[in-house]
Amino acid sequence: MKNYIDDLNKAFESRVRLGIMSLLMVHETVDFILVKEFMQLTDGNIASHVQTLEKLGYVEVTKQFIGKKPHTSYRATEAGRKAFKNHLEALENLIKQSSL
Amino acid sequence: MSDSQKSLETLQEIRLLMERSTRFLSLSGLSGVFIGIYALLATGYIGWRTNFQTDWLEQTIRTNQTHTIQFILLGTLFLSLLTGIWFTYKKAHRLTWDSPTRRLVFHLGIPLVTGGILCLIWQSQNYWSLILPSTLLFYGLALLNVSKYTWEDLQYMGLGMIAAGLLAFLWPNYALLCWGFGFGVLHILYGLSIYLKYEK
Repeated sequence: MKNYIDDLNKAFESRVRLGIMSLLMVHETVDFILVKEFMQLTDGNIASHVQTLEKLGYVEVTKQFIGKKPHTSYRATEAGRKAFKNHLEALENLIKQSSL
Repeated sequence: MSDSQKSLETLQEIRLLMERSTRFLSLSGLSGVFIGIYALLATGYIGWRTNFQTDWLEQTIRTNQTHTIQFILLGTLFLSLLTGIWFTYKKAHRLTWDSPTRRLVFHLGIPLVTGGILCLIWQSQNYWSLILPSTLLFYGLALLNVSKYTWEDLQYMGLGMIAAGLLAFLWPNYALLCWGFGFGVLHILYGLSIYLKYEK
């Protein structure tokens, strides 16, 4: 029997990273405020988790100024989308395997 | 807890987050309450102009007041739109043309514009009695349609509007009353329930 647990992506073990990635899968770009609203996290917490995802090449961060306000938005990269899909598949396989 | 149970929970969590984030949830219940009040005021005013009689429509046509009433209805519509936008802005602290907003406008807009065009056609052919019931019916269908993309509770208000619209077609003499019930009472009830449920 194949062990699907090995297919799970360590990057998505954290609930926060999993959540951020879920948002990025359904939205082209996601504003920092939206992540904060939906995940109910502190600013620093979001930044550090996003940084991890950015280092892995899963997320692109855009920082710009709109007027005088800094505006940060995130976008999932192609690699990020693929990694997340594989992670979901692994989760599904784990469920299927146990219900056999 | 087994791995599969954990996986199932994780998947459900992801689904919920994706769904919640794509729905337009900045629609405030308070805007519903205000819109309902405008509609009741408009109904009261039209009723007063026609002496609260069931032949209000014949009276309106006989006394050449159709334009006044049209003006009041369009004014109510305009004020309601502004109120909806204003409360959305207050709740979300911003107005964005993002995908939930686009979906809301698109799925609400198409049935509404269709109904609006139909009302213009009724008007051009002097089918005055069909206009109020049509606004109820098409607004109800629009709400039912858009409820998939915002508060799900909106579908009950939609069904209520559709029922009020059909009754208004059935009893043209009571069309104004049905209109006041639909646009006035239902908006207030729905607005209050959303407000108490999600915003308090």
